[in-house]
Amino acid sequence: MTEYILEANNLKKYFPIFGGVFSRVEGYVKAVDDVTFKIRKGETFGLVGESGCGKSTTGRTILNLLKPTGGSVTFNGKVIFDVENKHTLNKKETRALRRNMQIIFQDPGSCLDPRMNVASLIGEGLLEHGLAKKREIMDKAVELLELCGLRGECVHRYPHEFSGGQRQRIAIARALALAPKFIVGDEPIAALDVSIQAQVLTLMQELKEKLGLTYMFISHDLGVVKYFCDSTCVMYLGSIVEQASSERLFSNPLHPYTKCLLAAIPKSNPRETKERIILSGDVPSPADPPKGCKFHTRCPQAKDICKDTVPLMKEIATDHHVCCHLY
Amino acid sequence: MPEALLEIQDLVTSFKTTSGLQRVLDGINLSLRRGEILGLVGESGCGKSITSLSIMRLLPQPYGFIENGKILFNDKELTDLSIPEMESIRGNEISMIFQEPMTALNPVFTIGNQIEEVLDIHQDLKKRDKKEKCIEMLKLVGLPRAKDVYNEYPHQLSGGMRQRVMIAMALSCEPRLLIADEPTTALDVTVQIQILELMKSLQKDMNTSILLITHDLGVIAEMCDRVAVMYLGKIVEETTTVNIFDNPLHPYSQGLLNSRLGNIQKGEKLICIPGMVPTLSDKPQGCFFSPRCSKCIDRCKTDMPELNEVKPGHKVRCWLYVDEDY
Amino acid sequence: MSLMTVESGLSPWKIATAKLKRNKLAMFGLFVISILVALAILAPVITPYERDRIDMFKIYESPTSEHKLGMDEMGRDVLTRLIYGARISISVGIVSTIIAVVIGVILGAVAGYSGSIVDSIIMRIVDVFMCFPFFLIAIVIAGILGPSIINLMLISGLLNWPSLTRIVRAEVLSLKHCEYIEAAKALGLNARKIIFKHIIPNTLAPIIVYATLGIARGILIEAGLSFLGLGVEQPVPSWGNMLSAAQNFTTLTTYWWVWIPPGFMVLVTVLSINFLGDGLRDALDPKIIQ
Repeated sequence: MTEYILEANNLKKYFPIFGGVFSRVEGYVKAVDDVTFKIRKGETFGLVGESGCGKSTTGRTILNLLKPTGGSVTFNGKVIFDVENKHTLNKKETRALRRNMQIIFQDPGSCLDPRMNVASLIGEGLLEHGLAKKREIMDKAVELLELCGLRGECVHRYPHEFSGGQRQRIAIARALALAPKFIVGDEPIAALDVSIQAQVLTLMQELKEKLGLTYMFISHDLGVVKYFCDSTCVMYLGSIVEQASSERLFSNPLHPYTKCLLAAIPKSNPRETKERIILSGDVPSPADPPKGCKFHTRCPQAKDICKDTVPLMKEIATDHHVCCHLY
Repeated sequence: MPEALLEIQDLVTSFKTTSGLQRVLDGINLSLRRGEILGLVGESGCGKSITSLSIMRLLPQPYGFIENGKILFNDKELTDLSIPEMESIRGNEISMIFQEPMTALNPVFTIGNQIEEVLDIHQDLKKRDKKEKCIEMLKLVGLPRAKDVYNEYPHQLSGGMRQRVMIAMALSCEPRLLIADEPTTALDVTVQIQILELMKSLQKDMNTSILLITHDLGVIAEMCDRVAVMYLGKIVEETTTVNIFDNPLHPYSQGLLNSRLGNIQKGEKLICIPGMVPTLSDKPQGCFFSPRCSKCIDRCKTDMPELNEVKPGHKVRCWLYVDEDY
Repeated sequence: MSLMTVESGLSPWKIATAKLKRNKLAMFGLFVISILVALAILAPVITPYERDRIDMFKIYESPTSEHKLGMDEMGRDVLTRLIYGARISISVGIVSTIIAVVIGVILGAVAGYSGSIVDSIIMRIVDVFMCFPFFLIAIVIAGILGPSIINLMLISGLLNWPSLTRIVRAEVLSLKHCEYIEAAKALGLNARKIIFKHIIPNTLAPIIVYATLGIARGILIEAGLSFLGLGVEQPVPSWGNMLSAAQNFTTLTTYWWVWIPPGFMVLVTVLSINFLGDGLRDALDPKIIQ
């Protein structure tokens, strides 16, 4: 029996569009539209998709950083919120939750307050939760920095004195300060150089093994997800289109969109001949998604049924779910 | 026998800073043949974008200037040209595509307006011909409803479409050289491949040479005939694309190739280049790569190696390949 | 990890100070202002005569070795009154700026952070204040409340806050979407802590710049209103009411020593403050690195 650390059921997040003189709500951007997934304890769960598909919004909504529009999330057997049953956590419970769930952002340049030095950045959460006294902060910060591969002497320095990769290490140290069980990485390596990406990924992998973490890894880069994640979800326009173990997903993609994504990865070698499925056009606006299957406007295998009926998620094989009329 | 269209010799570009002059480009030698796609690859801060700005003579003023070296384009010495002479070359014989299609187009003019502006400067066309040429270009870059797009504003187009417009604009005067500075970095994978395929097919049709600047080795594999790898303002390896992937010689190129995640199996350990790119003001002694290099020998710490041709068409800047007959 | 040897970090404030020190004009401004402030504070000690001492025999006496800047229309020493005037002018500038900053920062931060209806209300009030013809209103208020130093400070402060509110609000709005604010939320910090620990320290730079330039504005307003007889009243000297002597044509043409010194002081002070303010703006702007 596998244990799930996080379960999201029918998660929805709509952003209202205001218009007119009196700022009336004229419509909604359905950034996350009915998303259901489960994350096993100790695994790395990948969420891939193109820009605007709602992957970051999903990450922030499950952390309660954004107010969900619908659905429920259960973390460690405890319901964090359930919009339909009007269940939310009170302030104290939310604070306790923050200790267990942390987030690492994409841009290491903007996720650290430029006016605070490293020690106070790392210590901020510890003080807030009463996990350490003021004079213990320094030792704790040094310890965490060294854990993340930085020299402990850097504790008095300020974020602007570090390179992008180092700042990302600081951000990781800061997230780890509270000893969380679950970390959402929102494109944590997308802004880094290739050689630094590998370093940060290695660090994340080591920390996971050492501290028994569970990651939710949000990325647009299929290569990274293939290497790093145990199971993977592919999102398109706010919905999950395919979900499987990474191994299965990359060796046997079923959804036409997944196939296109994989075909679009540039060659790894100039000799390689790749069969290309070139998609026409761009991703439609999430404010006005197509009817029926959201992908039918660009799908090379679209049928009539796709234009007006929304396909349901089907389990094709063990742990391989796909949302397409072809199956 | 295709001769060189662009020949860069010993190019040194420096920036004035409060802590003195800093060499951003430190003796670049490059040649680009007619009809060839040359890739320039490296991490941020290695000077690959500054190389392109030096060619265009568009270095940020008043800090940046070309200190030394020659840039021969079609046997013309670009560094000696006056500003008006240079302006007649920009956009006409050499054009450029930038990374951010959002900011590279002026939001207050229609697409048609902006392409016509380029035509106005370099070609003498009648009004109706101009519009026709414009729409023809938009069709060429695969924009559906080219006639509507002609009258639309940049914000009405998506990122991929904007990049197509940029390409249409860059190619409207049929330049001999197109400099593409990270043309697909800001785009999604599915759109990136569209743009790359488009550039490849247009390059074949118009026989334009392309200098493609990127940090993504996948894009290089996809597009280029030859590659130059840059590190801290110097070229460390230059060879054909096939060579760099099959038999990279410089430890830095090897490291870059190893850092790619696409073809590593899950669970395998990543081989990464330790440390990080030093800042320009803090360049290491000897070979710039020596502090991060796993094959560093004593000599690397004191002397900078030259870019030597170790095999026909394969140049490397590394002491490992100097004395042996490799 | 790297070649770091320096242990203590360079905080943004340290960098700003270093940058400011390199700016010669700003340092000159700071130097002049320091001297003026010192003069104002030490006025009773360093002035050669009593402030209001009248010498009926020396009315309009031109500068002599005894009275270095001559005597005014009532036979008072101009130099003495000039130094005492610095007290009034500078304190009007500072107090009015403090009033403007307190109102402006609080309203701006509230408007920016709360958003929605509160924001709309505050910003509409700001709009209304901004379309008042400033000097006209100041004259009317001064006329109604009567001329006094306190009123002058209040008027100048109350009319100066709207632009600061706008600056602070814009700053807070852009900060609100910064990832480090979100990171702080993820750490479990509440709204109050986020405002005081992360938002306000990061808005300080534009506030400091605005406040510095606000002092110059306060001094000019004082000079203007006192010149019109609506500010500081005799016998208390201020640069403004000393200048009002120049309303008389004979004085303007013959007795230059009565009005040129205060005019010069206003010019030098405002110029120095503006130099310093510009220097601060460049020093505190993180975008200008070098």
